[in-house]
Order: sequence, then structure tokens, then C-alpha cells
Amino acid sequence: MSGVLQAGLLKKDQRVKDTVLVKLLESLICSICHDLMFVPVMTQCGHNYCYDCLSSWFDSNSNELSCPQCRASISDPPSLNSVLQQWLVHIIELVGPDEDSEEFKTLLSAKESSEKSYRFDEKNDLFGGVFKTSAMGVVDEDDDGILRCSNCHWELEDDVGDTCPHCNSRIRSRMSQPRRGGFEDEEDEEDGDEDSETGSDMELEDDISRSLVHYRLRVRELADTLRRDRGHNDRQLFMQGTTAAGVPFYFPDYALYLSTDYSLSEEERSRRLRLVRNLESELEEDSPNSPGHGHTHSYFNPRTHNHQYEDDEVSEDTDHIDMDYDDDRDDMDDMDDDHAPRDDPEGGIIDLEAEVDEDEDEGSGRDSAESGHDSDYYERHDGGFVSGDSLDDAPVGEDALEDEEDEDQEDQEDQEEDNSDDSHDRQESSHRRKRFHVVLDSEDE
Amino acid sequence: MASLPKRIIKETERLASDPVPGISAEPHEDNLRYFAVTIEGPEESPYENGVFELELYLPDDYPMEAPKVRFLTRIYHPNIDRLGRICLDVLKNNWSPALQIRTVLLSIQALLASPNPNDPLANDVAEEWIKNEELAISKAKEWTKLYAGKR
Repeated sequence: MSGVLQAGLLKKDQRVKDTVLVKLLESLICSICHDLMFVPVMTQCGHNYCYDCLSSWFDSNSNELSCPQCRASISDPPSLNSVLQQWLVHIIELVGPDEDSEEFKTLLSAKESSEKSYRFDEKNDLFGGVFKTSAMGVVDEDDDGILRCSNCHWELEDDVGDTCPHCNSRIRSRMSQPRRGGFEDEEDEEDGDEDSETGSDMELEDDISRSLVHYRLRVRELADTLRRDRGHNDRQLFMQGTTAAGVPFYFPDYALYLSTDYSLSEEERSRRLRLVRNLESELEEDSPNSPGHGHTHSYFNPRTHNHQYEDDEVSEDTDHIDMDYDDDRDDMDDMDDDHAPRDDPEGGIIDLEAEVDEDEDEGSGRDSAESGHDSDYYERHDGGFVSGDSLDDAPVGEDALEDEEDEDQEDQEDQEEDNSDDSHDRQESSHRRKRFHVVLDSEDE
Repeated sequence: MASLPKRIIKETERLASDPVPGISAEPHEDNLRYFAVTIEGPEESPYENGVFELELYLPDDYPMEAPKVRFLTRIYHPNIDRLGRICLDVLKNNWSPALQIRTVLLSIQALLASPNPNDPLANDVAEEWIKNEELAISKAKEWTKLYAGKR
């Protein structure tokens, strides 16, 4: 086949041949430095750059490694494009004997130094080691919804910098995309501003689910700060307020949070609110067992949506969908109990400690039966399997925090204590627990 | 100052030899990283027939860092504030070293053609734009005549 093309091209007049030659030379030009690529490297999305140029772009933009041309996120180290490199070498060899200008000498020395710098880095760390020591921040909604380092699964708190406090990996794409890979991230980002205003409801739902993850982290952080700063060990209250219309509200309410986000246009706000409400009512229909609490408490409800979208994307999860979905809904019901003002002895103020107790309780039931490998989170990260025990090595001072957040990874001992303490809570949610056990049984088979 | 990177020299040459229609960019004699820019208002936009002056500066890290661009001519636009600062993604988070002076200026020209009051920088302008688009557009035309008239 190539013969046809070659013969056809040779028959063309000089102008066409020149065009082809110019195009060929253009393909050897780096779009960052606009000069010849002596050491061309190709990203996983197929774009070529000088090794040095791409390396300094990664260096200056290391939070989110992306391709300069198509903005696709880059997770694998770009590799040497030896075909392009050879082309350039051929051309230089053909031209070389007739050239002894200063410019050509400069070109040769530039080539030499580019190759030298690549060879040096090849022996040490290519791209300044960004691919060796970096990790992504991942959130597993099926597990505990905590942002974690993809390398060691250490919990990443909002106030730590760009590196994981446990394994010192640099965290790329921190916070911005909970657990989605490659191109999709980038497309979302590119669509960015325009699409958040005009995108389809599906996209908006994704957007809301993601905002919710951020929101939850922030609320948790607030709760932790309150607890730490005021030194209370007793019950800690959450915020309460009143809307302009005189309706009382409780802070962990996502719909309300959204309705006060004035960076959005009014139309957009009401559109998003409508979506959140829809997600809420879907949940209500889905779980007839859930207690009939007020509609304002939608804080955790959009999580159902999260499941749907994650399940769609991660096909190897299929076996676990039913289990995860149900058991998480239990979780949500429990949470919602806590946030429903009518259940609260303190006159409608949200009680954070109650939430914590409930979580511990929940965690105990789950772990004893599932021996620590319930979560598909760990299964997805081959080679990085972390058992529940390793998480219990945390400093004593953080116990409360761990208890609250690592509901799935409680130590067996702790659970037995909790079991006796929380027998009351246990009864309250026994109908849910039953359902939970049934699911576990099927899992065991 | 460090010597001028080859890329900047090439870009400057190409801007002169192969200019973008409706856009001009010339480096300052004393500082080759500082450009005097003019952009013609796009046809069928409220800025039609206006010629807007801007300044563009290439920071030391360019092209790893976006150029700094600012309107010098006053303009009534929801994404451009009173100081001439521009709210445009490619000048901030969405900068990429594969972009260049000419593509940035084209993006700004496109922004003139399609104002986005939902992502405002000049809040008062954006509010008026949403409330009464007709009035806002006529005001933008008026300002164009007033401040961006052809010399």
C-alpha cells in the first residue's frame, strides 16, 4: 500500500513535495518551545513534546498533570518517541555535510545537550520523579467517603499540603475529582464554566454529587475543629439558624447550602435545587422503611446518586452493587435520623456525637461479619491493599476522628465494647440491620 | 533581565509577519516582554467598530505561566472590570503552554462576541446584563462609541 502513496507523491510537482516536507518538519516542532524536538516524548493521549519542555510544564503545574494540547490528564509517564527522534536525526545527517554555519553548530549543540539531559534523568528520575512519588486523592463513596491517598490510603485532611502525610507522595488532582480516571476528568474540566450553566441534567447531577463530597468534608472538618478547639468531650452541637421566611434550618443540609450559593444565577440555583429535591424523593420511594423525616434534611441523600454513577463506571463492581447500595442506604437512614430535628432531645439542634456513636455501631456490625475486605475500594487498588488494622495505628488523639470516619475498619475489640454500649441504638434500627445481615449472608456464599 | 527565550522571539516575528485579522500586538522597544495590543470589536457585537487597547505582559515563566492581559480602553462588559481585568479561564486555571499570544488574543476577541453574565467579574454590569439585556447592550454600544472610537 505504501508503494501507491510513494509513487503518487513522486509524480506530483515540486510545490506539493515541498508542502509535504514542510509538514513533516512541522511535526518535529514542539508546541511548547516552538523549536525542534531533539528528545520527543509522547503522552498517553498521543501528543509529542520535548522532554525538557514537558518536564518543566509538569514541574510548574504538578497538582494536575495534564497534556498542554488536549488537557487530558496524564497518569502514566510519557515515553520516548523514537520514530520522531530518528526522523530528525536523518534530516540532520542529510543536511549536515553541506552546513557549517554558526546556526547549524548551535543546533547540534542544542541536540547534544537535550540528549544528555535526558540520559541523565533516565538514570535517575524521569520527569523529576513526579510519576514515582505522586498519588491521586481518591474518595470511595461506597466505603467511607473520605478523601484518601491512592498510594497508601492514608486519610487526607483539608489542611495538609500537597503531600500525603503518611507516604510523602505528592497528591495530584487533590479534591478536584473524587475517583474518576483519565479523560473524563479533563472533559469535565474543559467544559467547566459553560457547562455548569447549560449542561444536561445528568452532568449537573454529577456536579452536585461531587460538590456534596466537598461539602461533607467541610462539615466534618468544622465538626472536628469545634470538638478540638472547645475541648468538649460531651455532646457537641451543630449550627442552627432561620431562613428569611422564618423556617428553621440545620446546618448539614445540602439543599439549603445550595440555595444560598449566590455565585450561581437564580435560575441555576433553582434548577440545582430541583435536582437535589428529585434525588431526595427518589430515595424516599426507594426505601419505604426509612423514617418519615422532613424534606429539608437532604444532606446525605444525594449519595444514592453517587452510587448509580459509580456503579455505571466501574464495571468490576457489578458483583457488589446490591450489597453496597443497601448497606449504604442503611448508613444514610441512620444519619438522617440524627439530623431530623424531631428526634432530637435538645429541641431540634443537630447533635454530632450521636452521629458518631451510630457510626461506630454500624461499623461493628459490618466488620465482624466481613473480616475487613468488604470494600471494593481496596479490591480496586491492586498491590495497595490495606487492612482495617493498619488504620488503627493512628495516634491516640485522633481516635475519635478515626472512629467517626473509618466506620468500616473498626478493630474487633472496639466493636465489642460498642455493641454493649449502644444496645439502645441497635434496637432502634433493628429492621435495617436485619436487611443488612441478609445481604451479608449472600455475600458469604 | 535574562535573555529572551526563542519562543517569544518567534511569536513576535509571526505576529508581525502573519497578523491575526482585527488584532495587533507590538512589543515595547525597552521591554520585549511587554506588548501594546489592539483588538477590534467583533462584528455584530455591541463592540462593533470599536478599537480597544490592551496591554500584555509575558511573565518570566512564560510559557509555563499565562500572559498577563488587561484592557486599557474602558469597556462595558460583564467579564471585564473597571480596571480592565479580564475573567477568562485560559488566562488563569486553564492556561496551557501550547497556547500563545495569538490564541489568547483570539479568545479575548471571542469573549467580546459572547459576554457571559453568569460568570461575572464586574458584578454591577453582569446584574444589569441579566436584568435588562437590551439596555445593557445599548450601554455597551454607547461606551464603545465614547471610549473606543477609531482614531
